[in-house]
Amino acid sequence: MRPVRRVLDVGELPDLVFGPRDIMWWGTLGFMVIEGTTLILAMISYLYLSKNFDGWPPYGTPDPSLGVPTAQMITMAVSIPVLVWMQRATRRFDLARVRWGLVLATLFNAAFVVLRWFELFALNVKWDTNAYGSAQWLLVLSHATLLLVELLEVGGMAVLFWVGPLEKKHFTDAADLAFYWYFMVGIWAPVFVLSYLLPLWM
Amino acid sequence: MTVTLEPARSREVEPTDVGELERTYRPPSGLWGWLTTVDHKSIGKRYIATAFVWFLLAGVNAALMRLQLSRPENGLFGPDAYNQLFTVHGTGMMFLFAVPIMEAFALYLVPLMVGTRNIAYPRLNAFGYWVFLIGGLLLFISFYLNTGPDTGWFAYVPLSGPQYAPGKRVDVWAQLVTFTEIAALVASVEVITTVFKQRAPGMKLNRIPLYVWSVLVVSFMVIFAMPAIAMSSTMMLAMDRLVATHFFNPAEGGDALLWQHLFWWFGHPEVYIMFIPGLGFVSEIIATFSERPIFGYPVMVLSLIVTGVVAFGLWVHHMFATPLSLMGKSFFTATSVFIAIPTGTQIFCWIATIWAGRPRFPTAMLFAVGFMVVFVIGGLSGVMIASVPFDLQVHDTFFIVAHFHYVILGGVVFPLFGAFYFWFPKFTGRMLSETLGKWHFWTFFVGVNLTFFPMHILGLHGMPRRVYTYLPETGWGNLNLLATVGSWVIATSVILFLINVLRSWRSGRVAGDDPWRASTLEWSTSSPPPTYNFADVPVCESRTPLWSSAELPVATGLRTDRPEVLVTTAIDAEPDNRHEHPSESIWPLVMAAAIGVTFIGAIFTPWAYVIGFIFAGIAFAGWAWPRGTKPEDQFRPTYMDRTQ
Repeated sequence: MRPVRRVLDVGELPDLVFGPRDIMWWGTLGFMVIEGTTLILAMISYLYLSKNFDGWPPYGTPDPSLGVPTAQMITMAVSIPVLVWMQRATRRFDLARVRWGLVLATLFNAAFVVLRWFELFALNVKWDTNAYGSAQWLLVLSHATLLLVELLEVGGMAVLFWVGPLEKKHFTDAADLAFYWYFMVGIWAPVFVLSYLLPLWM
Repeated sequence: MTVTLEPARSREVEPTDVGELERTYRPPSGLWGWLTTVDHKSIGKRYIATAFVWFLLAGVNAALMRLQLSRPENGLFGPDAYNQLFTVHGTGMMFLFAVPIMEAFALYLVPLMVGTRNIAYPRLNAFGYWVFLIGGLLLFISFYLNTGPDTGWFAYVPLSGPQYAPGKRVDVWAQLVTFTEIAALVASVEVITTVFKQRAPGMKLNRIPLYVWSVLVVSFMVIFAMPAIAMSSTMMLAMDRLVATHFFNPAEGGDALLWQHLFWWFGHPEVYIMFIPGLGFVSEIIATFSERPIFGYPVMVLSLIVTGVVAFGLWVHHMFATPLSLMGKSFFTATSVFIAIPTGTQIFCWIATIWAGRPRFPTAMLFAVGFMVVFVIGGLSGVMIASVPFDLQVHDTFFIVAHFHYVILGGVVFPLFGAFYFWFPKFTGRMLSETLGKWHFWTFFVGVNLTFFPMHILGLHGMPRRVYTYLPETGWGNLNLLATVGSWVIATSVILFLINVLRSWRSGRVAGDDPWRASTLEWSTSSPPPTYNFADVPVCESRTPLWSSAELPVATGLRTDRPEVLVTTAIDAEPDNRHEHPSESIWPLVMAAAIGVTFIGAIFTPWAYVIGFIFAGIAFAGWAWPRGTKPEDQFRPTYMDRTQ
């Protein structure tokens, strides 16, 4: 072994940090980029396929309904301040607020999933009707997988915070969960425009 | 800011308790330990071994293809078996060998080269390996059961669609791709985080070893490229076949060219994803055996980055035979020619390094030089086919087969064998035989050229690729026989390598920590390294830390009673915080099994996604649920200090 020379002591550095200082945050960012790239490519494919038709939706295929998707978009928008409130509480280690924030987030996420079920019907086309239907289901279902996985995570996190065993590091996990939430809601906005508004305009 | 080479605090610095560190990192014994390990070195070694097994199996397919083509109208295989042979060969080599083995080396080497105790997200790392293993088993077991994919490694529609490819062969291909992409994506996230956040204090961006730079660039490429194939194979092609979607069905508004765009958005960067780590290997080998730092380090780094970016602007050159606009094709011709510049720049830098150094030529260095020769030939034929008229002339002929084998064998396999010779002492503590190594190199070099150079001529004479036989009147028999003889020489070479590895592993010369007098941090620890890599975290004072001083500056203070890593800042690698890594767990394997059930089940029924989601949910809960919380880690309502 090579002789060593001790030049630095890191024993007093913190073992709990938030945001980009924490390596878990980088993992969350990595998966956001992967999922975001997938959804962007799905959107490009959707637009690519639209060039094969004179109309969009194609002649004889009804337009999507707007009611449920609009309700979904509003629900998602309303959830953001709640998650910001919860995320701020994590940095103050405010247990009560984080607990209730996670309960609200779970309820929001469950509402997203239920609304998504009805959003599929609001497309007014099946996946096997034509390429338009296939592209619509690709976009909406791809994003639904994010909602389902996040529901598992936020629900599990809520149980953990109420039942335990709770560790200090779980507060950074809850903060990262909010970070991912902003992505999950944010990436839905262009999908909503493409899937539910664009067919009405074209 | 620079690293303060003084104790950060005034507390008394105690030597690291190595005994406790060994107890903390000691894996459980036996099979359970093997299944649950999260040590990046154990996982990296089994990843390398597994990918090499797939290389051998796919290589056997290649040898059988060459036997079939050795003479006209040969009756060894019919068209159906031949279709499976070349598809499984290409799929295995691309998806199960070339990319994964480069990732595998990175998973082993990167933590050691940046001076940390384990890779970021160790459980995710274990998960990635198991998913990769399941994917490989799926392909080869299907093949041996006569259900191997048979529509080529890029599975063009409509040939691979439900109309022209009934049965389950293409579905096996589509789901195999998903397994390998998941494995590659998680590995990339691990590597990026490790490089950005777990570098040794003082290892600023301009001190990162070139190999680490190369895998960092590749990891970003994977993240932006692989979602395209994961989406198009699993969510589009497989769905067209399973639930009658119409993404690629022109009768219902679908589009066959959409598949080509999505495939090559992934598939062209894939070529660079395979060989950019090879460039990193070559840089480390040439610097070490020239006994001087690499010439033009900033240019080398910029070349890697430029290659990684421009690689995304080339995909249409695989589609020159499709009716795209001429302006579009001209653009892609220009980018295809342009990308030769950064690679050429690196070759000049390597030559300058050798020129200005005191070069030695052990086997690893021979493979590095052999890489330059073979890769440059492949690069030159690449510049030729970047031109649309020439490409149209040789499209789908053996000229293309010759070109990409020169690129891939030159850019991937030569550097990889060099890397084996270079790092084998670190992996095992023993040296590979140099005598056998030189035989290995020369037989491989001769074999590769004997096999693939004649294919250029065959292609120019019009021999199409992917035909199972040809007529005697074509006059292609002699050159094909020559290529087949070349494949036997390659097979001999690989057998020599295997003998060398097996013999040396058991009874090779003991290597010591740093047998090559190299400059990077992995050579400062023992060979093979302990489970915790470094008792004290190295501090990096230069680009070539082991050449800078006889003593290794280190940082102390990480806890030894739990697996803890030092987290540093992304740019300057200033010490920032300490992070506890997770310990061994069976849940990554359970999660991989859930993914396996999902995607293999989805070959037969869409309900597999529902079942798989429930299974994965259970695995996720088991993975994430805390257990064995130490008192000091428990949350107390009074815990309000150190909020960052």
